[in-house]
Amino acid sequence: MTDALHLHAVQHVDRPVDEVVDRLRRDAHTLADDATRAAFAATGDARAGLPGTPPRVDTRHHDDGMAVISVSWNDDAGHWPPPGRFPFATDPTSPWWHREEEQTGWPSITLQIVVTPSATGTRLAVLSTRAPGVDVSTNRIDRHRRDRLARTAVEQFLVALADLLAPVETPAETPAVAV
Amino acid sequence: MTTVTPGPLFAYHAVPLPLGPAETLARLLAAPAAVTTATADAIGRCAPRFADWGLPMHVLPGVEAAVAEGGEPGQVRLRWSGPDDVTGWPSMTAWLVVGPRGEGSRITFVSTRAPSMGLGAASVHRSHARRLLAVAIQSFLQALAANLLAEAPVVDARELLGATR
Repeated sequence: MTDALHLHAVQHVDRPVDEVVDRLRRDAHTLADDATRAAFAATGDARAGLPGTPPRVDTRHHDDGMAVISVSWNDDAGHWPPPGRFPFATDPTSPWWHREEEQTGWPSITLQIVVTPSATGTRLAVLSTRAPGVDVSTNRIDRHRRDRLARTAVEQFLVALADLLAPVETPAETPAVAV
Repeated sequence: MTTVTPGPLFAYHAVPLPLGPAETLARLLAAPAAVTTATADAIGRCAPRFADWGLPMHVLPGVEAAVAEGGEPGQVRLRWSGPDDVTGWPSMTAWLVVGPRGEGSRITFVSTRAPSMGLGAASVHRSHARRLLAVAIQSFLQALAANLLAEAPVVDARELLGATR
């Protein structure tokens, strides 16, 4: 009937639900990409010592299902050194595949962005078929750290996305008037 | 930011409504009895069918509905309780998630109860249990949508359900 979904994070946006849905439908990729980059920057301390660049972001619109859009962080730039030695290892589903995730600690995950109205605006929630505690790697990063990275990455992404959808309005400065 | 306690969720069925999501939620929160009434309606609709399947509903299931907290999966929390391997009606905690669908909205029924979980080893076969679950939830959502769209005031069915338990 359905896959198990995991609720990762919830964030409030101080804007009406129709406006948020409209913006997400219109600018899905730009918003997701910007929020991912912001989350990547915000998790700098947690990723200390790990190489990597922000993940490739893919977005999809949904009209059937709970999510308005889904955002995928892909690590399909993986490899198995030396190239060509193990032909079966070119398959990303193979356990021999050297996943980028093992290098960077950044989770390879599809986030379903569920938008619901709330009493004071809109609520964003992230659902995923990937459990929060699933292993990111068995090689370089210890279990505790990769759990923390995965959680922080998703949370920071949602915070950044909410900020993009409802930017804080800075009051205009009153020019000084000479008396 | 609300950090959520992880736990698997299952999205069962959804019902579309011609109202916008904010309006649907407002109606749902303004008349929480719509949830209990919808349960009673669905039970009434399903009971003859369940009886044909060898599950006469001698005991009515209990139903509780409440506005969910911020970190929960949906806006309304629903709890059906009772001896489900006797009545066939599923005993579960679920959330109603009101979201957008095109120009209108949809209410999705989400639960921590897995669809493959049997109702019981005693009287209900596993494949039978899945069918019961689907029929119960679909009937409930149809009744709920009808209640939310109805102009007439929603009747509180909590007394009815509570009195017969």
